[in-house]
Amino acid sequence: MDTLPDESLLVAMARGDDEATVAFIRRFQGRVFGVAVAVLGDSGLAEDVAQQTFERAWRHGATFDPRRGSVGTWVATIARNLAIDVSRTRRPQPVDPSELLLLCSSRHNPEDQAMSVATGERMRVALKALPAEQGRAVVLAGLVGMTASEIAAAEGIPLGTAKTRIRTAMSRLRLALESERSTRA
Amino acid sequence: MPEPTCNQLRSLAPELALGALDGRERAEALAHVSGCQACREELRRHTEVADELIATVPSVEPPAGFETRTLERIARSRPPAAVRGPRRRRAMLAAAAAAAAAAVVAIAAGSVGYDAGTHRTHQGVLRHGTLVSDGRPVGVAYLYGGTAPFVYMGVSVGAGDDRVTCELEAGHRVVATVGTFSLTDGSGWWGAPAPAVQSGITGARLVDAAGTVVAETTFGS
Repeated sequence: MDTLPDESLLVAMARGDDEATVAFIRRFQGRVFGVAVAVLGDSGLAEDVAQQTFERAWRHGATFDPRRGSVGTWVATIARNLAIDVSRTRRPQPVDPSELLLLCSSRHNPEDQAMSVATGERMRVALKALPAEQGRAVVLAGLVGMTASEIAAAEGIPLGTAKTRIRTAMSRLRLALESERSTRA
Repeated sequence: MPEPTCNQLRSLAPELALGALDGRERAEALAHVSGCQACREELRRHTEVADELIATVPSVEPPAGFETRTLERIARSRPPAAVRGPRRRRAMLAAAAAAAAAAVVAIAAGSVGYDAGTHRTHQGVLRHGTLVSDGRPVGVAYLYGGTAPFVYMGVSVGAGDDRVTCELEAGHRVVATVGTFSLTDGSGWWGAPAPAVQSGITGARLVDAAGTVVAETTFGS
């Protein structure tokens, strides 16, 4: 089971195979819990979200669309969305955007890099190259689920400035990733 | 407020991809995107960036016992056995087909080499093999054994719409026809219950209406 490709593991889990379900949880639990902790900043809430994420992946494996990305991205996105829902009602402390930016743009330990997707590293480099205020805006929107209005209030800036920071950051990240892809091709 | 124009949508796409638009703006933007192919493509490219942003979050191992607690939660949410049959089977087949399609995408992108293989579990045997056409990988097929065996596959071969029949082989002899499915623009994915002869099966092939073998595979033993 440990050597099965992600998609095959999802198939076997959806087939109702208990061994595959265990293997699926083991393979993605670090990533799922990492996303939940990053968004919520609370280990207890993060565990509840991570459990919900796997329950949802088990229940809705049939809706996985391979054209949208990898199984890892799919399950991490479920975790992010559930964590955002929880954070809006139950998060005890707002996440510090500077700490979150540092977390996402820092080089991870080798063991962790082996578990994360290859694209994560090039995005970290691109994120680190952004002006800090743009980096904060894009992680608050993309990971914490804040709207531009909420970011404007949190950062003490006009709404138009928040929107500009988000758009400029996304444009730079996209350019960096596309440039990296064309270099590889 | 009316739907945004294409130019306005291009400005909104980064926020839409990140989920940073408020409810009203989001609804208006999505209404435009649903009817505009060019803007859907623009949004898709921004969504790729948003997805990769999530990949930057470092992994963190959960507290001890997480796996057990999660399995217990899943077990509690299982529907009663009496209603699991056909509905669950359809869901499984859909998931299987999606996964086979994922394998096709990976093969097409050149990122994955699927050979033949077998994985034994407590509840069955999952065998798989690369579908090959003219020596080129064009998809992947799975044969899942156990109490309710089934076959599923994803294939991307040629172009145009066609209907192909899946046949199972023992050695080089066709021993069963599983069913017929459609290829749209050369691609399709599909799953169906496997016949009871699955114990001696060595491979599968896809045959078009003229009897030409479109693709074939050998399963791992």
